[in-house]
Amino acid sequence: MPLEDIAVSVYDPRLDNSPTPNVQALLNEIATHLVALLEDGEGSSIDLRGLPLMPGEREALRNALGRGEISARVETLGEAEIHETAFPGVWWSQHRDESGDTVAELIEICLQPAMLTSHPADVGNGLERLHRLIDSDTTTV
Amino acid sequence: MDLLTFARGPALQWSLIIFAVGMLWRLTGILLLRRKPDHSEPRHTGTWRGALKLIATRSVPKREFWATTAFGQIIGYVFHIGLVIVIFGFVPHILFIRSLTGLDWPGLPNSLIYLSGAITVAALIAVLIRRVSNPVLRMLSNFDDYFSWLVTTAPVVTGLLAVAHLGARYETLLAIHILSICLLLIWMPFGKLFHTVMIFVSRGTTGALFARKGAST
Amino acid sequence: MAEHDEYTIGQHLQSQGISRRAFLKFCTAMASALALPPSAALAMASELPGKRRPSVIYMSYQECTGCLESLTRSFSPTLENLMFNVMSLDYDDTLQAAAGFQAEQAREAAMKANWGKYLMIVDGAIPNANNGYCTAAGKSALDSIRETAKGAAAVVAVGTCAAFGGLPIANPNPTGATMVSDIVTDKPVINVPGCPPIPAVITGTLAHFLTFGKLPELDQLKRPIAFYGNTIHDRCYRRPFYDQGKFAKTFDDEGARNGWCLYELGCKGPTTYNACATVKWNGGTSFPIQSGHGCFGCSEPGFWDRGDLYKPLSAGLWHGNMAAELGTAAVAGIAIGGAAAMAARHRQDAHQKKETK
Repeated sequence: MPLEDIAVSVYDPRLDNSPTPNVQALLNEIATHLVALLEDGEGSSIDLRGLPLMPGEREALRNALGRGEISARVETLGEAEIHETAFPGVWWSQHRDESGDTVAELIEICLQPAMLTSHPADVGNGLERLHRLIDSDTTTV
Repeated sequence: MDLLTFARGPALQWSLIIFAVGMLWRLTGILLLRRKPDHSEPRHTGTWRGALKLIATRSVPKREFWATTAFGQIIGYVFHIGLVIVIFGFVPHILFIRSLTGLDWPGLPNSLIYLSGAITVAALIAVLIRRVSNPVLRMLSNFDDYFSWLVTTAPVVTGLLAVAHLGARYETLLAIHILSICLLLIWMPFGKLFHTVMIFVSRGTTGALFARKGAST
Repeated sequence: MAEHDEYTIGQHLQSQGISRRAFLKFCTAMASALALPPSAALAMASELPGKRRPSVIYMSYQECTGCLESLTRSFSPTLENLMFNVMSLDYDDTLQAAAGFQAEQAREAAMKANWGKYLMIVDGAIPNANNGYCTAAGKSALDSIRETAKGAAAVVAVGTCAAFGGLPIANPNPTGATMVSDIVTDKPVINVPGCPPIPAVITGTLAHFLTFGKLPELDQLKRPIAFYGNTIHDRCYRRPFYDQGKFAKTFDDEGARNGWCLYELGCKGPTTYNACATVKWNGGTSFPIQSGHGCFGCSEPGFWDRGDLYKPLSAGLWHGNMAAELGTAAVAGIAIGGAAAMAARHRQDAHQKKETK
């Protein structure tokens, strides 16, 4: 799909409270990354755990970014929740381990998060298993 | 041994020993000096009260000289009060004094301490500027004055840097802060900072003398 | 163990049924823990599977096995266990099944096959005083560490004993214990101190080396800055109470119950660099200060010998009898002062005599 065809939903960013300087800075950073994505196709991400956010700022950022059309749950080594924000190309991903503790929380600026893409190696493995299934089915039938 | 352990241990230990020796040496040396015999008839017998009175009254600026002494008086009061707040109000300082003497009292919030510290440094800088810019004061000043200023200011500045984590790692800043106090302790008996004790002795002596003479103070 | 050596990490993951997506998640978590840019996770996830698993040799000397317990009993077993899929642990006398000559042969074979490339992990201090202390397989600890370090690409000193000497080096140090960096001087040494270190800090440091083939950024004590860059105090959730001047005075008073700052009870948070306040323990459940006890400063050199585990950081460390020494000083001061005054009087008398003459 060419970039022009990706729907851009207009979001009114009027918030209950004006964003704190940290949130404001992050929104600006995201905007810069989106420009790079549109112009050069270059994706990037922001590690939220590495930022000294004040209590409530993560929630403020979440509110400011809102939720978009896609929400995905990945179950591998614990859960991961990945959703597109109200700004297409801006993804919020939270990775948890088996005990439910967050091991990584990122804002990814990309067309599609790598986590939601099938890896050729996994595809190959799957194909092998599928072949085995077909073979075993034909022998049992 | 790292710098902080050295500062908290041997450096502090030896500077306190030197401080104790020095303070008592100077004080005993002065108190045991022979005073000139006063053969006059005492006009008044309340010499102790006179001594205490002068210690208090000399701390209040004289109205007649206020116009010329106001700046020096105010700035002097500001940094002396600031030092008292910082030294005796900051909890880690109270804990330090408690570890030596067993005395304990409640501390003040750190924000107040930081503010007092900053004001104290500003006032100390102001008195230094006044000392070097005023021709009379400059002529009166010697190494003792400048060095005493330095050993007084250094602990405040290093303390503020330590709490702000500016310039180096905290343990290094804390060690430098403690070492600057060691320097202050060692210098105190032998330089003009001995006024911390002598101000009471000298004012008291003068007050007692005035009382004996029946002079108005 | 040796039969896996020909496999790449990717093949190994596949044989364990670990998808690349899961591996990407592991890399994302590692990059986040190491404070690397998130793009590093993608680089790790795409490059690592093609590489051969690096050989790791784990040597234990004067230690209590607490560090290995910490490493292997982490709360999130699968994620941490993935570490063992990206490295080939070729020797660890506590974990391996082989014993005696077989174990030593495994170590020698791994060293020979990976000469100059293997990662050596050292756990425990090394006794230096008497060559007979701490002997395994007929070799003294000193000979053993020298021999194994010779072919290593780098040496990771895990735990305070290996990094700074820890408990064994504490006064009077009967075994002449010494730290890894004092013995291994010709190889890069990474210190991962703590008693024990946080599991994620051990695995994170290993992951960095295994992924990028170089040391992470280190502080002046050779500790990875990603984990040891901040003090406990700076990242402590009780910090606001310190700033407000609210302190617990005893372990069971009102302040302690309200969760106030533990500075007065000897907390070493302000001078201790570690990740306890952020990464925390037991899968992020808690850390000492959160459970009501001050920080001991276990990731700092010489923490046993300061003699101030329960003394506030600002208290002096007086060695000897303070009252007696200060009393002596006072008596000496009075004596000198008295002598000075007497000398002054004597001078006055002499002067007066001269004048009256």
